[in-house]
Amino acid sequence: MKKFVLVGLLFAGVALAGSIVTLDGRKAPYNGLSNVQGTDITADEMIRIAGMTQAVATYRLTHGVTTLPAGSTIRMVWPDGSAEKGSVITPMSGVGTVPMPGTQCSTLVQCGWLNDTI
Amino acid sequence: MRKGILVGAAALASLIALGVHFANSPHPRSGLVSNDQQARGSVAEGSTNRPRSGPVAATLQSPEVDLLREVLGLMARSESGDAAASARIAAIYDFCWQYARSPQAFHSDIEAKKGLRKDLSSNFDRLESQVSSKCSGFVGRGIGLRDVALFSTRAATQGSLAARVNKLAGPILTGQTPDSDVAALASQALRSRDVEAIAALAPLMGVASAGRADALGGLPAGSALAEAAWNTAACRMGRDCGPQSQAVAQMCLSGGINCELRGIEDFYRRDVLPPGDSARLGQIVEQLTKGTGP
Repeated sequence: MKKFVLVGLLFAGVALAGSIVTLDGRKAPYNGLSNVQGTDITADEMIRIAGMTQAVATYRLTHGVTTLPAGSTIRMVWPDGSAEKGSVITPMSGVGTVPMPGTQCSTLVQCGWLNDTI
Repeated sequence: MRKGILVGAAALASLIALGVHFANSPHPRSGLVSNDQQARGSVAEGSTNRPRSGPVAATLQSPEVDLLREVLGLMARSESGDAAASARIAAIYDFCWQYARSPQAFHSDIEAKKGLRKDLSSNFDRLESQVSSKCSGFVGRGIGLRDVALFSTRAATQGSLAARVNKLAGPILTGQTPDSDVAALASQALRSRDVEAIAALAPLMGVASAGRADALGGLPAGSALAEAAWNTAACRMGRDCGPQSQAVAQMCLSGGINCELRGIEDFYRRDVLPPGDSARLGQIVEQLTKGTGP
């Protein structure tokens, strides 16, 4: 019995470690954020930082203060459907989450994320 | 490994972009005044810390615009190489730029937060009031997130330890910075009792450092308890961490955490740490503040 519990915990841990939160800017509550509205992967990097940071803060506000700690990776889907990954740096600054170069794609299909839960 | 390369490239691209921006700016402080040529002259006066005429001086008659007054007083020091002045300007811009860009959009975002967390509605009202009273002087002056990065980069170049920590956050989080360098940086922050640097280290020493905790020379790292200890140590060494502080407001506005607006130590004790860790927090904080490590 103890062995099964341990194996279960191991699988749960692996699943947790492998999961990446997706913040979908096409949907509430993210589509109403001022720095997300009208932003896409071609926007100035600073605007994308502002949008990602705002979306991450909104996620923490609704999912808990210990979610998305520094070091986490997120998927950001912008309102036009373009998407990219972001690296969470700190919850203490407006430069809180930064885009990861080389992860930008015009569509979720291009990203290969269409069939992933978002 | 690939993730590390990508984030490293991002940091490099940011620095290059900022360098281009800096090189193309006739005045690095242009973020404050770029939309207002008349104000540009007033800021030059402000850099002597004695603005005497023009729209900025008129604005300063209002007691609400204390952060604009503070920036005007710091600008000359920043330009003459004062790292602490540059770091403080970056922190003020970080606090004010969203409101300064559009008070209406800021209000709309606050209303959205209230919709998501009705239990915290009065706190968001209080935050909006706090930001508007502190930042109203910047409205229409064109400051943005780029100016935060610009002054932060300048502060790091001038020797600000906190700014250096912020600049290294990406590489540290992705394991690109050697553990020995991280330990040295953290030890230097403690030795110099630089409270902003110690606070900036807190999220980096939290769960993000779980894989390297044993390689940091005994410094607390790798858990929420460690993050709490670094942040609380900064408070006990003199950082303003009270419920009305800019640090607490920033946690909620930028991070979506501590929107109960508790003092920072209280936040960790009540909202983050399990009860058993509270006693341990005190011990680790005491060791950090004494500079002896755990």
